[in-house]
Amino acid sequence: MTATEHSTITHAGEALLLTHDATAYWARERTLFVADTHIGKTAAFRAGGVPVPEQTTTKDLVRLTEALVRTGAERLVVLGDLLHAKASRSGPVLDAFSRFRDDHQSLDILLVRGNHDRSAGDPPDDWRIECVDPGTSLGPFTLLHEPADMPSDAYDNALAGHLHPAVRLLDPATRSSVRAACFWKRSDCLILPSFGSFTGTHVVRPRRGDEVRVCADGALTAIPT
Amino acid sequence: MKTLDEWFSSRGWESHEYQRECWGAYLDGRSGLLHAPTGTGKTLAVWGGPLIEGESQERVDGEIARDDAAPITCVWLTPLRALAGDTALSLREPIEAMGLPWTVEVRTGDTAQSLKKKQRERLPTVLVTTPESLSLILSYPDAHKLLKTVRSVICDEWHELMSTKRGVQAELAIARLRAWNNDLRVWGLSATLGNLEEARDALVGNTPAKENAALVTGRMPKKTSIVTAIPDDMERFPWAGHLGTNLLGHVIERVDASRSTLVFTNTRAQAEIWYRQLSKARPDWLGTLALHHGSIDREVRERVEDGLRDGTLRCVVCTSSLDLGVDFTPVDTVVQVGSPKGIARLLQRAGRSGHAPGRTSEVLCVPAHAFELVEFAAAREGAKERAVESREPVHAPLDVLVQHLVTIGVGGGFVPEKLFEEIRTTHAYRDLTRTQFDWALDFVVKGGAALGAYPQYQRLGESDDGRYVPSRQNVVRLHRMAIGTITSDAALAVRYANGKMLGTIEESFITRLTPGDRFVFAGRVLELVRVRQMTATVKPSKRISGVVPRWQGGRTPLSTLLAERVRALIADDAPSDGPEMNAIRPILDLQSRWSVIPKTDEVLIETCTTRHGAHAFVFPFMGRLAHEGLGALLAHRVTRAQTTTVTITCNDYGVEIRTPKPLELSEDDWRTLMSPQDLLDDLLACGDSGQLARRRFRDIARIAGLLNPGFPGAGQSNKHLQASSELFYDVFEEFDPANLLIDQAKREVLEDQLEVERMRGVLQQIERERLVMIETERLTPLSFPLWAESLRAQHASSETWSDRVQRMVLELEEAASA
Repeated sequence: MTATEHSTITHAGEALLLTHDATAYWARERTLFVADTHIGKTAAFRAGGVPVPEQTTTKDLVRLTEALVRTGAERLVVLGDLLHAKASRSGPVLDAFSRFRDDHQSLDILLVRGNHDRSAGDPPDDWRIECVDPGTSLGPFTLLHEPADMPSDAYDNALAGHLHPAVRLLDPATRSSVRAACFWKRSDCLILPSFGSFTGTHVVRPRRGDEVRVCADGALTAIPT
Repeated sequence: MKTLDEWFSSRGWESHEYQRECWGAYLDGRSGLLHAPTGTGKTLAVWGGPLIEGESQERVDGEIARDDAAPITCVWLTPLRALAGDTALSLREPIEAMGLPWTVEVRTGDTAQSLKKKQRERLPTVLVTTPESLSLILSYPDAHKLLKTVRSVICDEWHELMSTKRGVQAELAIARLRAWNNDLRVWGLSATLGNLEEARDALVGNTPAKENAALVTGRMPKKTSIVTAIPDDMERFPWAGHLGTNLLGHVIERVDASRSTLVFTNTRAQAEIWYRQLSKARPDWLGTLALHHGSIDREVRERVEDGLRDGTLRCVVCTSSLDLGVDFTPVDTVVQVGSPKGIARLLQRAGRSGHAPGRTSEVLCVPAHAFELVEFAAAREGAKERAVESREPVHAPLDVLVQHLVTIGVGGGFVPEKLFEEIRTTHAYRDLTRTQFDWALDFVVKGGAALGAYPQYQRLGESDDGRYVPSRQNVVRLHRMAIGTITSDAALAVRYANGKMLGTIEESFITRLTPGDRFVFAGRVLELVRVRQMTATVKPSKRISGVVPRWQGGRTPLSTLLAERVRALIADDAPSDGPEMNAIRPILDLQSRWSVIPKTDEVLIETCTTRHGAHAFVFPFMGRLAHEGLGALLAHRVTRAQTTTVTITCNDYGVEIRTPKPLELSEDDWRTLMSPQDLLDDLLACGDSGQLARRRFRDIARIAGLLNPGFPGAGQSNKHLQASSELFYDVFEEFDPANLLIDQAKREVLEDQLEVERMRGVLQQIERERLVMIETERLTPLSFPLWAESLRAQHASSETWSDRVQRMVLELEEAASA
């Protein structure tokens, strides 16, 4: 199977277009899903005395713009952890997002509150972001931030983030391994990779029958489970 | 109060010439370095000076003039906290015998909180400590008040410290103490090195005292007997492999003939395997056979050390964990399993035996495969000539500088110009430019040189009186926590369910196991029960076998010194009739029948096609690290010239290039491939050095204070500030490419890991040598071990990361559909 820039997956009876840049597009409702943007994470680090350059915020907002323009989406859904921390509500971050908001005046933005959002607080009013709690429905989907611990019968149509999923691929030739962020569709839930640039990943263990799409350097590749 | 001489007499001792030389130099106000293979006289040689000085100062009219202990006068630096306790004991002995009103205390990460609190107010007369703990004390705002009476610093096992960043940390701390006391004397104790003057200079610093510093040779050892175990049946003896357990019988024989033996192995995994093999072969040794390595719980290790000290253990299988420290008198034999990869290391290990009066040091060398016979022969001859390796000091590491700036900023603050001058008095930073210093200052003050790139960041800020001090309190707290961290990969504690601690194991090994899996550790077969947070709970397994963990500690490469001698021995320049060379003669004869034995001014290139592909083997004999760099270079240059996939494998003798089809290279083609021209550019263009730099950055990020240690109980607030070093690397590379820490990572990879300069030297030499190209029908004695290496080791490749992922996915699919 070759690597492609995007790949379609069926979830809850709907076609979703996944891209290597960690977005999922629901064409029928013109909705773009992302998870774990962690905007202002570098600002939080700087506030804590650790030097990290600021430009990741701009970069991520540019990427988001690119995805919105390319798909023509009318609504953006963030599956949790929009802002990283309270310290993220600093001048440069707020300014950058305001400019982003101006560039997409008519875009509806929906945030499913995640654990980081609970400590950072709801976004400023003038960002015009509608905030909902996890478990809210959107069409056939149930929107979550944290997926259930075990795939259960409670959901079979959930969309989630939080895990920053990655798989570890073993290379038998060199006996080493490579870690790559991925989309993970379990029986209950499609879990998106983290969108933010300065975010880490967590290795997950997909089961047989799950679908996994690995994001690697500009390409998306399905791997067998 | 007694004098030092009186104490010696009361013990029936006579001082040695070299001891008196050290004492005299010290009392003259000089600094210096004492070197010798391990031996007890060394401590007293360097300790005597301060004792004599102390005793004469404490006498006032023949009476002791004080009621309380004298303030701190000596800092004794040790590389390992495990050694500090024993050191303190040996320093205290003469003090008590002489009746000096001096206290001796230890200060390391293991020191009890209550003692640390006392030391916070007042330090003992003699402080035995590590470079990190000394830096921690320098980070107190009243550091000057605490340390200003220090008159001398003594660095134990200086050869161990000096080639590491901790040695640089020690140099910086010494420079600070020197700034507070012009007459500070610095002395070092070291094993024999190839670059003793440089070791002394690193200790004394770039100061006037350098001119006058002493270099004293300690007592040379009694005879050292180095004997290699020769396999009874050379035909069955493997050409490749690392365990050496075929010679188990020879080792058992030797242990039986000795009172107490140390069996050194090169890796922890090997130690575990040898321990199990020995216990299976000799169940009657139960109770007198023990295992000792860095991952075993400290209490267990201490019991083993006690057993060695009192002679109740007949055999201990160990790693470099027993290289340093107090001599165990009952030990009369050392066994070295596998090539020691260096002459100094063999001598040092041999020196761990034979301390009882009238004994010689005895070491039995056990080769793991045929060519190790040559390595042992070369090491034995080198040892006879006392040719030993040098240890290169680390040059101007910026991450350590950054950490030091924050330490001093937090510990009272500094004025940049003055601190710059002080730092330049160290050997490591003698060439530090103002630009580099300013970059480091910017890094801690505003994040980096790029304006506006780090808004609202500040660790240090300028106060009203022009000093740089911390800009907020959490900077102080985080920095002190960070200085105390240890430099290893995440390690999980291994415990029984009842809480009993067995040791630590690397996270990367445990994460590949699932509950129920068995593994061998601390000499037992264990079954994994569960992993939670940083603890792996295990229970004893009834089964008799399991996987032996692999630890990250890389295998040591063959030293340049030894590699040259190995090359000369194989080339048969001055035919040796030692037992090792006689044993390996039939194999070398085979090599010359199937291929060629290269002379010392020839470079052998063998080509061969097997069912695994087309192989080209090049044998420069540069040692594994330089070959890894050469391999990356060749892969890059080959794939630039031809469309093909290249797989590279390296060992200490050469490089293998494997391709699907033969490369069909002429001599000129090879010359071009191995040309030193554009060496650096091509290496940098290789995908591989970029990935290596990214991994190398982990240590740098930690030292520079980017990674949060995340202490348990530190609260959730710290979790928001945790990110991996790879993330930092990527974000700096993209948005702050002028960041000198990234630069440092790349430089370290090129210089330390791939040994660019060594490679350049050898490529230039190859240019002058003859190339001997031969096509062989099958793998030869020289090429087979290199091929075998490819089945187990990591190797360089010219694939991009996504190509690699693609390939792996393809292989997974093939496996899945099979």
